[in-house]
Formats: sequence, C-alpha cells, structure tokens
Amino acid sequence: MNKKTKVELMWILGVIAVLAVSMVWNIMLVDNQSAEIAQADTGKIPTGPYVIDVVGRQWDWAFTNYTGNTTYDAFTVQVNHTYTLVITSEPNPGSTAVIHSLLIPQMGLQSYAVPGQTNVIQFTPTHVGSYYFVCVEYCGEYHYTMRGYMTVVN
Amino acid sequence: MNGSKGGVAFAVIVVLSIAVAVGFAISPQPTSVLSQVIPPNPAYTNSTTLYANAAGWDTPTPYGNTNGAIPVNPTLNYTVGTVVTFTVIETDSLPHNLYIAKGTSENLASYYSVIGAINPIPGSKYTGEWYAQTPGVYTYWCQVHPTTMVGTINVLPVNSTSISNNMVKSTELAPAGVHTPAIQSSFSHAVNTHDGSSVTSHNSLDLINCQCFATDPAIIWTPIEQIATGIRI
Amino acid sequence: MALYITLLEYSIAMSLVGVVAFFIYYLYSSRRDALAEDAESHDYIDPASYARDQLKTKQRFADWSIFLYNDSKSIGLRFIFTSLLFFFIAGAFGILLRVSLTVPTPSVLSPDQYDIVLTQHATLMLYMWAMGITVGLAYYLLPTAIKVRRDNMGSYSSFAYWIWLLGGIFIVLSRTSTRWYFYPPLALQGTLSGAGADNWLAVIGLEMIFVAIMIICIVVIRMILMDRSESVKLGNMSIYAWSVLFTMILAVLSAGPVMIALGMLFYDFFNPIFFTASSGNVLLFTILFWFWGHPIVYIPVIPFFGLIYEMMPTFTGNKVYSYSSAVFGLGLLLVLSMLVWGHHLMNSGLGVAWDLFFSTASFFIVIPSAITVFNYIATMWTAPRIRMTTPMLFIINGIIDFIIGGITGVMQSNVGVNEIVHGTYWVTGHFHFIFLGVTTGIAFAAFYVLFPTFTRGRKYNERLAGWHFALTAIGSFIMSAAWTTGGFLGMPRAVDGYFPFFQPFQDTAILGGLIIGVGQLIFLYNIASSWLKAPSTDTSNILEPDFPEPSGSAVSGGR
Repeated sequence: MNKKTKVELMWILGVIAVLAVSMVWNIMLVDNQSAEIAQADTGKIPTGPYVIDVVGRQWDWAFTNYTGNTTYDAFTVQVNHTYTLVITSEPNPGSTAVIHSLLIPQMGLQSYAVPGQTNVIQFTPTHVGSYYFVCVEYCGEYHYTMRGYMTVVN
Repeated sequence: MNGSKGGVAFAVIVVLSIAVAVGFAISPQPTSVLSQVIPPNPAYTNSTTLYANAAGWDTPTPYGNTNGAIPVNPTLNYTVGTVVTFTVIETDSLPHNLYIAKGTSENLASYYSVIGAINPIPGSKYTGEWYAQTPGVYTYWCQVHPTTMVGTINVLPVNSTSISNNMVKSTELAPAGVHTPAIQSSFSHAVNTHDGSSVTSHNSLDLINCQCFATDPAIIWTPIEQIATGIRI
Repeated sequence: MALYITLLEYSIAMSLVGVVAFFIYYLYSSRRDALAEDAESHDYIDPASYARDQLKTKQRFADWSIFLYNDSKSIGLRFIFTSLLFFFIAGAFGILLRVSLTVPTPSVLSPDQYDIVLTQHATLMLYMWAMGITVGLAYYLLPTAIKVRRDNMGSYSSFAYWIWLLGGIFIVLSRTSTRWYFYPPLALQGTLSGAGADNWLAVIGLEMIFVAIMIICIVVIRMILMDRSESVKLGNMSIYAWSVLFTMILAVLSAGPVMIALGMLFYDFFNPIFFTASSGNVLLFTILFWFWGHPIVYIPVIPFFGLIYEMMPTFTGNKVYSYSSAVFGLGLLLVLSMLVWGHHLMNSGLGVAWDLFFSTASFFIVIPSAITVFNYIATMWTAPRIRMTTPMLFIINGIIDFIIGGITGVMQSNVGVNEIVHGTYWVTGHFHFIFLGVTTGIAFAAFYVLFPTFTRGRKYNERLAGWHFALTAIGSFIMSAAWTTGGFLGMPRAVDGYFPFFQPFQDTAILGGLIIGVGQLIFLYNIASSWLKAPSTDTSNILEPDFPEPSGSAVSGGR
C-alpha cells in the first residue's frame, strides 16, 4: 500500500469514526424519545388529565383538553407534567383534510398531522414561559397562519 | 467573421420568457370574490364593531363577561339598503379576515371580501364597508378560522317587524384610509387569561403571549401613530 | 362584458402565437427539405444519419441548426440553452419570492400568488435547470469523452427533448400551487387556496418530463456501454463518463415508483381512491415520491462531481489524486442514495424503526462524499500551482459550499435534529448550499470552459465573469447561511408571512438573493456582449483536448 493510499485510508477511517460516534449517540437519543408508530384514526382519542387532542385543519390548530375545552392556535400546559399530544388532521366542512406538521422548536418536538391516522408524542415542559409553534408541512394558502403560542404555567 | 447576434438573441428570449412566465403566474385567476358598488348616499348606515378572536367573533363588551347576554358570533340584523361599516379589532395576535356570502353557510365560490388579512398586533383596527343590497340570509366568517368564526347576517325588508340591529355605534371608529392609531399595551396589574391563569407584565410582547382578554381594563392602551395597512384580497 | 374582453385577449394572443409557430415551422421544414435533398445527392437514404456523419468530425457550435440535426452534440446544446433559459425564469421567480418576504405579512404577492411562484421556482429549477443542464452537458461531452463509434438513437433523444420542453411548459401553464412534492390530498384540492384548478395539467407535464428522462437514460447508458470506442476501456474511461453512467443508472432505477405515484394521483383527480384517508393511505404517495425524491437531488450533483474531476487537472497541473477511489466514491453514492430516502419522512409517524434505519443509512452516505471531497482537496494540495480562472473559482466555491451543505446534511440525519429542522428553512439552506455551489456553480464553470466552442472562438469577458462569480458565491452563501440559522429557530418553509422575530433572517436572505440576481444579470450580459464580438481564439476547449482529431481516429469516422 503506497503512501497516497495510506493517507486516504486514514482519512476514511477518521470519517467513519466520527460517523460511528454520531450513529451511536443518535440511537441512544432516539430510544429515549417516545415517538410511537402512528395508529389508524378511529375518531376516539385516549382521555386523561394530561392528554391533549390536537387537530390540524386548514388553517388552524385546535387543542382540546380532557375537559372538552378547545382553544385555537394556543394552548396551556403545566410545568413538570408529562403531556401526551394526540395529533391528527381533519377536514373543513365540504373539503378534504390535508397533511400538516406541528413543530414546537424550543421543545424540539415535531409530528405530522396526517388524515386518517393519529400520531402521538409526549413531552415534559421544564420551564415556565411561552413557546411558539408553527405548521411546517405546506397545507395551502394560509399555511403561514397556522402558528401560535404554547404557554407553560405553574 | 464578425460578431454574432446569437448571444443577444438568447438574452432577448430570456428576458421575454421571464416577463411572460412571471406575468402569467401571478396574473389574477378567475376568482369568486364579488365586488360591490357602495352607494354614496345610502338609505341607512350602521357601524358594527367585531373583535377578532380565533374562538369566535366577539362584540364590544368584554369577552365572556356578559353571561351570554351578547353571544359570541352574534347574529347581525340589518335593514335592506344599509351600508354597514365593519370595524374589526385584533385581540389574539392571529391573522383574520372578514368575508360575507349569501346563503346559510360559507361559500368560497362567491363571496364579498369585506376586510382582507389584518395585521395581527392586538388592538389594530381595520374597517371595511358592505352594502346590504338584497334581503335574505347571509353568512359572515373569517376564512383563516372558518369553523369557529362564523355567524349569520339577516338582511330584512324595510317594513319588517324584526328589530334592526342596534349594535353599538363605535365612537373610536376612524374612516378607512385615514390614520388609524395602532395601539401598544402595558399592564397595570395582574390580568386574567382565557384559561384562568394570570399574568403580570409591563411588556406588550407578553400581551401577545398571554392570550389575555384584550379588553381587560388592566391593560392600558397607548395609541401610537401608525398608518393602518390592511391588504384587501 | 369582462368575459368578452378576456376572450378577445385570448384570441389575439393565440393568433399571434399561431402565426409565430407557423413561421418557425415553415423555416424548419424548408431546412429539413434541403437536408433531405443533400442527403439523397450523396446516396444516403436517411437524412438524419447523413447529418450525423457530416458532423462527426467537426466541432459543434451553438446556432439554430441544433434544432435541425439529431446528433448527440446538437441535442446537448438544445438542452444546455433551454435549461439555461429556464434557470433565468425560475431564478426570476426566486427573486420574486424573496422580495415578497420583506415584511412579516403578505405584501408584494398575495398568499395564493406566492404559492404558485414557489411551486414554479422549485419545480422548474429541479426538472428544467438541474436535469436539463446535467443531460445537456452529458450529451455534449460524452461522444468525445468516450470516442463513440456511432452516434445512435438521435431521433429518440430529440423526441425526449421536445417532450421534456412541453412538460415544462405544461407545468408553467398549470399555475399549480402544490409545491414540488405534489402531496395529496392537497394536490387534489382544485381551489385557489389549495393546489390550483389546473394541477392535473402539472401532473401530466411532470409525467412527460419523466418519460423524457427515461428515454435519455436508456440512450446515454447504451452510448456509454455499447458505443464506446475499443480504445476506451471501462477501466480508463474518463471520470465524467463514469459519473454520468452512475447518474443515469440511478435515475432509471428510482423513477419507477414516482411515475406510478403520479399516475395514481392523476386517477385520484377523477375517482379518489388511492391517496384519501377513507379508502386509501395518505402517506403512500409520500413513500413512493421520496424513493425518487432522494435520488433526484443526487442526480444533478454526481455528474458535476465528475466535471470537477475533469476540470481540476487543467487548472492545477496535477492528475486526480486517485482515479479508483473517485470512481468508487461516485458508485457508492449511487448505491447508497437509494437507501436513504426515508429521512424525508422521519416525523410522519412511520415509527422509530423507520427513523433509525434511514438515519443510519444517511450517516453512511457521508462516506462517499468524504472520499470525493478528500480527492479534490488532495489533488489541489499536491498540485504545483492553482490557476484562479473563473471556472476554477467556481470549483473551489463549489467544494466549500458542498462541505458546508454536507455538514448540515449529516446534522439533519440525526433523528433529534431532524425533528427540529424538518420543514423549516434549515433544509432550504442545506440544499441551496449544494445546488447553488455544486450544480449551478459547476454548470457555470463548464459553460465558461465551453464558451469558445459554443461561440466559434469568442472569449468571454474575464472581468464580468469574475463579478458573476463573486456575486453568485457571496450572495448564495449569505442567503443559505441566513436560512440555515433561521430554520434552526423554527422558521417554516413555504410561507408568505412569518413571526416578526424572524425578520433579521429573512432580511439577510433577501439581501443574499438580490446579490445573486444581480450576478446572473451580469452573466446574461456577458453572454450577449461577448458573443457580439469577433472571434479572437480557436474553438478548442479544455474539456475536449483531443477534438477534433486528425483523421483516422475513431471519432473522425475511421474504425
């Protein structure tokens, strides 16, 4: 093996080493998240004090908590409790439902809202404050308006 | 061999193609927005103020404080021939607009765009006029939140026995096209929010975040001069 | 009344178009008749092969006869100039997008107009500019690179060109606002606020473009594998030829699912059964689409990697550091890019196993990219000198942009990062780094290198070209960097309005976009004005150093 090949091989091994570290770290992090595979949307959502039903529509997000209270483009959660968001997409009257995606950047959460299935994600807010969320899957003319704030209170 | 005009020809084709493509792409497509001619001397006038909130159109009295006496998404009654000046006041920092269509439900195939997209700063106001030309039932709604911000308008014949709408004639109303003061806020004491928690702040950004009742007397509105720039679609 | 005026306008416009089309067709058919007569007088039955045999020994210049002859170089020139035309059109759309985002609420363009312009910008850039320039340079350079014995299937290639062009025109005509993904159920909403009333026309246009791509792939693969001269073995074939071979194989292997998906989508317009929530599966289209969707972003990159390998030795006076790892790297890219496509769907609820598999595969695909970049840097490192001509500047900028874009790419392969940045401007920044740096930058480098040949021996203005490079490189860096950072904070894509606190990122990106736009205007002026001058150099170019060859070689007709 001549010198040129040796240099190249060292470079490749270095790259593979860095990638291997990233891969392991990736697998470890993902295992700690609870992003389950989607279930078919049966119209029934699990209820409980920390379950929020999230419905993406053209063009707002409807958050319904277990008391049946629905807020639009805004919701409030309590700090240090684990919340489950059950996310789906529903049509406007006379129309069809489209795909949306709820992203809360400051919490590092994203999940698609797909018609016909429910996606479930869980999170635990640890700091009080306001966190913005946006829709990041193009859903039509007013896609840019599907945004708001999640308020974390004590 | 002298210079060739191939490059110039190419450049000309490029420029022409850009013009055609851009012009075609953004040219107005046949839409369903109806236009109206507002008569200068109508038989009746009316000023209606609506607070724009994603949970529903609200009326000038504070949200939820009337124990249901004046409902959210009120039914509006006007005598035929009324030119209604709608004032929409932003409360929840979300985009809204105001469309009206004939019929008992929202109709995107044929509607009036009374107020286009409004600037989502709480307190900003936009006005638009609508001429209740023919009697019948109409629907008014916000196209951004079409399932929650929708209500009915009844345009009644002249000698109808139903009482014409006595909505508050807003004293803050400014004619369209004139400086409409935008408003910034600070809080004088703790403010109750929609879900029962409370917020204290001196920062108008927190008003955006707190989903407070924009008409809560704890919020102090300070007008700042700013030209209202609504977009009529 | 308004209806009658519209009908009158349309009638006048259509009549003018008809007159111009008839005139062009008359010119074309009279030339074809002249060619047929000439062929008969030389005892050829087929005018097309007569034309090809005449042209085989000559340089092919850019003039209107490229639409008349069907030899590979003419077809290549058609693709090169048409794709450049669409680059300017789609680029103008891009500038329009930037300018309409100067304030947080819709201003210059209303939301429905913005969505149309957005869809056109992306679709035309990918399928007309990126695919077109890739195919064009392949057709133009391959015959001399592999010294073809015969230049076959020209009629098929010509047909493919016209189908491709017509498909692109259909996409423009459809004013679709569905974004270049064409995701149903949104693609089936035929309203102004959905996908536009004529989205079905865009689907047809896209299928036509795919048909053209398939034909081209088959023709080019056949050319490389079967029509190569005996003196060019696979083992010493030029790296560019290898890269084109891999690219065409990749395209033909991965286009099947998306063509089927588009067919199903078209059927759904009339009887929605495939991609609906009730009777079908909404995510099915996304799965079929992204099987192609990932290779399509490698297809306009791999041949330009090959072109860098071709051009770098001339400007550095050094051979490529390692031929075998260059070819190996490009080949590994082909294989791996068919295994990573699921990383576009990590947040759609397909499960953790899906996410982990594609995330790991996406980490693996860094390896061939690393091999390629190492090869470039090693070639430059061990070179006696580096001549900073405009093409070389584009090459260096392309390598830098690819490194940055690649790093953001490997970051977003991580599932946790992907959850934050998917659908935000981070992704836009990532691929604009690569598309502007590698695809567009190296295409410009190749265009400048081939300029004397296209224009029969004219030199482009070096100063203007330098300005073109500087503005393109700096503008694209500013724009993509602003997008990458803003996107990490959650700035969404495909929006006509945004939270006001994203204003600084949008403003910076607008500045970058405008700088790019000015640079391209300088480029267009350079083309036009340099072509107007008298020829001042010979018509050879550094990418075809042995052409035209003395008679007796394979290229000039001897066997």
